[in-house]
Amino acid sequence: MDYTAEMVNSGFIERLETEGPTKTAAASLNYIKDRLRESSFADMIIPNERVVRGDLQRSTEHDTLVKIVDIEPGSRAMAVNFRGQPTAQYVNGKRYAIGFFTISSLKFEIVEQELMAYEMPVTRIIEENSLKDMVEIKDREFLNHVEACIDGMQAEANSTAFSTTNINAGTAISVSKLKGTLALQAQADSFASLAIQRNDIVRLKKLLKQQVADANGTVIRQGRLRPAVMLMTESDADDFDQWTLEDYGDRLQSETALDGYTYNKVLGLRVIRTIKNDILREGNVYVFTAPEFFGRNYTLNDVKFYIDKIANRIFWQAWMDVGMGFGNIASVVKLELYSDASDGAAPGAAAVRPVAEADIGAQNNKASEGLTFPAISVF
Amino acid sequence: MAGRYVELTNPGYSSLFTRDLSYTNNQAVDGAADAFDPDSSAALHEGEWLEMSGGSFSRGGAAPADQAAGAVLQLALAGADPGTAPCFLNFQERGRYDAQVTRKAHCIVGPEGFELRTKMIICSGQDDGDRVFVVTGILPSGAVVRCLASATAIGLGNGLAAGTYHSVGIITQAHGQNDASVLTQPASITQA
Repeated sequence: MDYTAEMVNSGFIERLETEGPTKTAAASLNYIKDRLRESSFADMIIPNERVVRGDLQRSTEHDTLVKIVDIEPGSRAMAVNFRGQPTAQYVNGKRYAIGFFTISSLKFEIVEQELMAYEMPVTRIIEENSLKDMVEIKDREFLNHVEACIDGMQAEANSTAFSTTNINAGTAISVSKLKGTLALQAQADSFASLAIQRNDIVRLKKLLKQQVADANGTVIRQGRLRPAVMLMTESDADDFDQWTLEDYGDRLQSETALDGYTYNKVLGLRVIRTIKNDILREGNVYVFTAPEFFGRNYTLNDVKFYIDKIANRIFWQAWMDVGMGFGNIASVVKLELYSDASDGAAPGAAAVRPVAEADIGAQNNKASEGLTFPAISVF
Repeated sequence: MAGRYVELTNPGYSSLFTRDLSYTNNQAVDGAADAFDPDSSAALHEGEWLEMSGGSFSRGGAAPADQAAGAVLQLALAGADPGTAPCFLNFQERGRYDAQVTRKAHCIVGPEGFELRTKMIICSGQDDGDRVFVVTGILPSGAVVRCLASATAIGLGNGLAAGTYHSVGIITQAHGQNDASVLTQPASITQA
C-alpha cells in the first residue's frame, strides 16, 4: 500500500484541493531536494492490509492490541493395506499474535511569521515527506524482524557466527544464510561488499526448496518453499550491469550496455531495488516466498494527520499504527556479499546492519555548515 | 492495566514529558534476559526507575539480588544500593505488545515536580517527608526491579555507606507499607 496524500485526513486533502496541483508543481521547482524518498519495500513484499478494532484482541494485563493469525495445521497421508486403518491425529493448529505499535512523524512546529520567510511550501513538503519518513521506519522494523527470523533459523541449527572462516571450518551452517561466491573466496573476513554473481541467486533460490540438517543430522529447514521476490539495494543491483556475455547472451548484453539492466525480474525472481542504503545495507540480499507462506502486514485504521494553529504557532504530526508478524520464519533466506559475520560480535558489523533510528534521514547537503556553491572556496 | 503500581496524581499524564528509548540490559542485574518478555526474570515493570545513558534506558545497580523474595516488595541486597545517576519513571506495564515490538522503554522524563502514588516503593507508613532513592528490590514473584526506597529503609544516616546518591524526590504521604505518594524533586544527597 502506498501512503499517498489521499490516506491522510480530510483537512490535509482539502487544502491540497484548494491550492491545486498546479501550484504544487510550480512550487516544487523552488527548492533543492536532498535525497530520494521511496515507498515502503515492506509493503511490496507483504501487501499491507487495513484492519479495524474489531479484528484485534486485547490483553487482560494492559491496554494494547494484537491480531491473532492462524497457521496452517500439519497433515500428511499414508499408505495402508486393504484392512488397515490410518494413524490418528488430533488436529492442533498453531496460531501467533501480531502486536501493534505506532510509527509517528516528529512533532513539527513553526511560527506564522517565520513561515513567511520560505518561498517553498515548507509545511506541505514536510507533511508529504512525513509519510515517506514513517514508512522508512516501518521498513527498518520490517528488516529487523526479518533478520530475527533468519538468526532464529540459524540458531536452530546451532550455527556459529556466519563468516567465511567459520563456513570453511564447518561450524557455520547455511540454514537461512548464504555467503556470496566472491565472499567465499576472500582471504580474510571483512565487511567489504563484493559483486553479486549469477550463481549466488541460483544458490539462494535452491536454499528455500532444500532440506537442511544441522551437524547432528536433525533436519532444521524442511524445504518445499518457492522463492518469489528478491530485495536488494540499488547499488548491489548495479552489479547486474557487470555480468558478462556468458551470463546474458548477446541480446541482453547489448541492451544492458545501452540502458543498464532495466528488467524487474532476474532468474525468475521479481526484484525490489531500494535506494535506502542506510536501512537495507549494501551486501545484504533477501529472497522471500509469496506472502501467504510468510506473514502479515497490517495497518490499524488509517494513517492519521493532525494539524493545528494556536495563535501564531502552527504545529502538525502524522502517525500510523502498524503490526507485522511472520508466522513462518523459514520463508526468507539471505545472501551476504561480504565475508565477515553480521550476526557475530565483529566490530565492523554495524556497517551491514540498519543504522540507528535517529540516524535515518541524515542529510546529504552541507548547507548548515555553509558549504554551498559559490560559498565554498574555489581553487 | 495501568495503575497497578503507579498512578500519576498531579499533573495528568498528558502534561508530562516522555521519551521512548531502547533498553540496554544491565548485565549485573538483568543478565541476558529479555526485559520485554513478560515471563522473563528481567521483565520491566511499571513503576521502575531507569537510568538514561548513551541514548537508551537501563536499570542501575551493580550486583544481582542476594536476598530471597518475601511477602512484599523488599530490598534485593543485604546492603541497600541506592543509585547515583538520575532516574526516570518507567510508565508502561510489563509485557505490553507495543513494547515487545519496538523494544523501547517509555519513561516520564519531566518536568520535575510531578506527583505520583506508587506501590513500587520500599517504605513504611511512618516515612512521610523522607527522601526517596532508587534501589534494587525484589517483588514477591521473585522479579528483580529498580524501585524506590525511603531514606529510612536504606539507612540514610544510619549505616548507609558514605557516598553521594541520587534522590528522585520526597514522600508527601506514606499511605502504608509499600505505598506512598511521591513528589519528584531530584537532588544529590551526600552521606558523610
